[in-house]
Amino acid sequence: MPDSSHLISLGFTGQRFAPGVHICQIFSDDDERQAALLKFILSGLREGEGARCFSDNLAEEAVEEYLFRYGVSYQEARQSGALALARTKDVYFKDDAFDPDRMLGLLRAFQADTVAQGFSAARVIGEMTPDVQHIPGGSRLLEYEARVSLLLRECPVTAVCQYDARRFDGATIMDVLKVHPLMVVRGSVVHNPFFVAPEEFLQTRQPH
Amino acid sequence: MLGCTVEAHVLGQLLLMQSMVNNLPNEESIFHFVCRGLMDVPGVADVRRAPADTGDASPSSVLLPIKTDKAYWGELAVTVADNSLFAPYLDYLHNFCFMLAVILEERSQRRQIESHKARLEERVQQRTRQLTEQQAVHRLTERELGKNRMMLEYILDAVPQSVFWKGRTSVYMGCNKAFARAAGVAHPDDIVGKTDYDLPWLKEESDSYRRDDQQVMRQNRPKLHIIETQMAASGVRQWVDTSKIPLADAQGEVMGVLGIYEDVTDRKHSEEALRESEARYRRLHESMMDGFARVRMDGRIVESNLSFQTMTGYTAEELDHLTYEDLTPRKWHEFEAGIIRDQLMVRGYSDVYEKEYLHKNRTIFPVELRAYLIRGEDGEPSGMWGIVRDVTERRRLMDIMIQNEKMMSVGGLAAGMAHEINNPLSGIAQGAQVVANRLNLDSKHSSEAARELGIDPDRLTAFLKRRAIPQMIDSIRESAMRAAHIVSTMLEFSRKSDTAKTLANVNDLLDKAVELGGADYDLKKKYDFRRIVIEREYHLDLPLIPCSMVQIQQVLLNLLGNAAHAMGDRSPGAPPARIILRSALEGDMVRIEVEDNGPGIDETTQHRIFEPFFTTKATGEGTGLGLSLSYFIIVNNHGGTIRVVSAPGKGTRFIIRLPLQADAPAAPPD
Repeated sequence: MPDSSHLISLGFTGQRFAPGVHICQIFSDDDERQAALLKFILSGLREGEGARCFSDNLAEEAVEEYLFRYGVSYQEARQSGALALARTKDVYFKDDAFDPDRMLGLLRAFQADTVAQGFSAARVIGEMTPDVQHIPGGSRLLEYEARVSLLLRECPVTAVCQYDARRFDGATIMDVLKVHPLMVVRGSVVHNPFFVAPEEFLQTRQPH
Repeated sequence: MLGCTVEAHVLGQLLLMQSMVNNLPNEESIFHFVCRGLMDVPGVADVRRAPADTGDASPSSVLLPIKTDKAYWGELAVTVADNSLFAPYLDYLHNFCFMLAVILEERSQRRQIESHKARLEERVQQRTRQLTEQQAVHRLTERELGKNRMMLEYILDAVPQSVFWKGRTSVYMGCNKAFARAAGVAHPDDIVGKTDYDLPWLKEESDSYRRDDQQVMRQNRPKLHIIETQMAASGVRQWVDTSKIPLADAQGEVMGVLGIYEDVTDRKHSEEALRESEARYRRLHESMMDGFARVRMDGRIVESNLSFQTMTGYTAEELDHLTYEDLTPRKWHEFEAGIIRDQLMVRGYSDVYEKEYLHKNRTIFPVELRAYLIRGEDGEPSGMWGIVRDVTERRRLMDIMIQNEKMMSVGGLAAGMAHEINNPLSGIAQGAQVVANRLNLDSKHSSEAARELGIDPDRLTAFLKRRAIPQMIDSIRESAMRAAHIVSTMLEFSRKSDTAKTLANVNDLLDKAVELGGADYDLKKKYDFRRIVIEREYHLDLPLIPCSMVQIQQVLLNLLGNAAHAMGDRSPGAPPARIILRSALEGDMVRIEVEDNGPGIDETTQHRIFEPFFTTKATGEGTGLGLSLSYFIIVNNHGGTIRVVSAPGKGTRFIIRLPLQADAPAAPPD
């Protein structure tokens, strides 16, 4: 269970949250996305957490330079296992399919390993790409997000999901919002009024 | 159901939707987002975007217009499933749709602004690029201009000529170093603002320079190669060759004058020296006694001197249209072509050779010449020139010398022969006389001798008469006498005048000769002097000359006799026979001419006419000694000259020249 007494920084907002929050960032600017991503990593490392980043649009050098600017060694973080970068398609779309169960297993394992390695907590930030809509399992994206919310109650991985509003349809964006309890609006993390509790959401998607 | 409460999270959702739409990229995505979001409003079954003003909403639908007072974005058709749940949100939804319209309008305006801004930015960037490029080009141009200016200055200063440029009012605007030196200014920049009157030039030079400036600018036409003087700063007045051209601005308006000049003092002096040399050459050329002619390879005469023109009788202009072959009788053409081919073309010049020229008056005269080949810069023959000498006089003198030699030789021979013949001839004559005397039987001794021999003198006399012996003996005697006379005449050839010379008037001698001729029996019986017109062209103030009057009269009588003989047989209709007698003073000689209008003498005869025994008369009409004797009298006894000028059909003229001084050296042949 997440330790609600220990609040962490997400980096891109002054607010502090208990580990294991599930946040959605709808962005329409690449700089905005990268800034949030880097700040999220930096703050995680500073918190002593283990961090993972999944993005197709992030150069390792940019991360190294950013961390270096704030006195953090990327190489040390990587070698210690505190930080790992990977491409979205390599993580989410392994074998050209989207498998929510595998992804949830990965999250669970990541959290367990991170804690086992002595990190204070685990955090992950990943950018979902529109490719998900065209591969097997892609239709289970919202189910996956809802189940993430459920998983995080047991495995408190602080998770930020990034969606590009320019590349997803507006209706999809609305659906994505509904499965994230928190959302980033104009640099602030707010409770999502669209949010539908995962149990309810998953129930409505159960075949009748 | 009326009275139902409004759920806060629905209102929050509406507010958050307003925030989120700005993240969405386009209108379509926004409406999808909004329609999906509004589906969560209680009592709503469906939400769709309806086309503008369709008015086809179903009874269960609520149309929510999305508009402001400036823009209209259509309507949202909300299908209400439970109006009681929905109704409390209607006003919020209207507000939401109004705010959505505002957001869309702002987005639209922002897009327009962004578009404008983008276009503006693009234009700014484009303009910036252009300016940058222009600036780069400008910098490059400036650099190039700078380089060009440096190069131009370098060139201007490197050229040996002086270069300057002036403004409209002839005020200097610039110059190169060479000009600055001549003008006595330290640096070309120092010339700016000065006028010619500020510089070392003389006033008249400055006046002239400025006149030329104004002419060039006024006429907008260059003035080239002005040869003028310039008093340079060094104090040396030099000759310069100046060219000036008008300077025009971009509009073509004349704004000044550009000048360039070079010091041609040396050249000027050289030209003057050359001119003097040419003048000397020309004078020499014209004063040459020998003719000079230059011809092209085709023979056309391109240059000649006065002697050549005089020699040929043509003017320089007439010669320009002739070739040397036109001046040469045809018989010499092949010979002369051989000279050119074998000598000129081989070694560049010919030996001295003789040929003849054809005078403009169609007479032919002998010339001696040497020709030279002219080669052009390419080494190819381009013409010929030659020195030509009229050798007519030399030929004549040579002929006279030959004649003299011949006459002296023949005369000596004849005199020698005469002397040797004289003795036997006397024997013959005396013997004949003795024979005649002894055959005269009237004499005592001859008749006694006949009787003693038993010969009847009368019968012997009859025999001699019958056989004409006495006539034969008389003939022998007469022939001997005649021969003796000839011998006597021949002896005169070698006998220097042993007759005393007295002073005589030539005119009187001529008149006396005419008188003697008319009275001479021998002449009278052969020619009727009364039918010959005698004309006299005497010099009336002739000085007296020392001479043997008898001998000179003999000569003149001989000439008159020959003239009368030549004109004896005149064809009917021919002009009357006429003899012209002339006398004239020629330096230290008196000239006498006896001219007739008879048939003339051919050239061959002229050459032999003074030879002893040469005669054109019929046998017995003359001895052929008259002119020979005349020759010896004039040349040997008087130191004069005698010659004949004649041509067939054009009469004959004998010219005698006698010295005024008795002991004068022999006269040069005339």
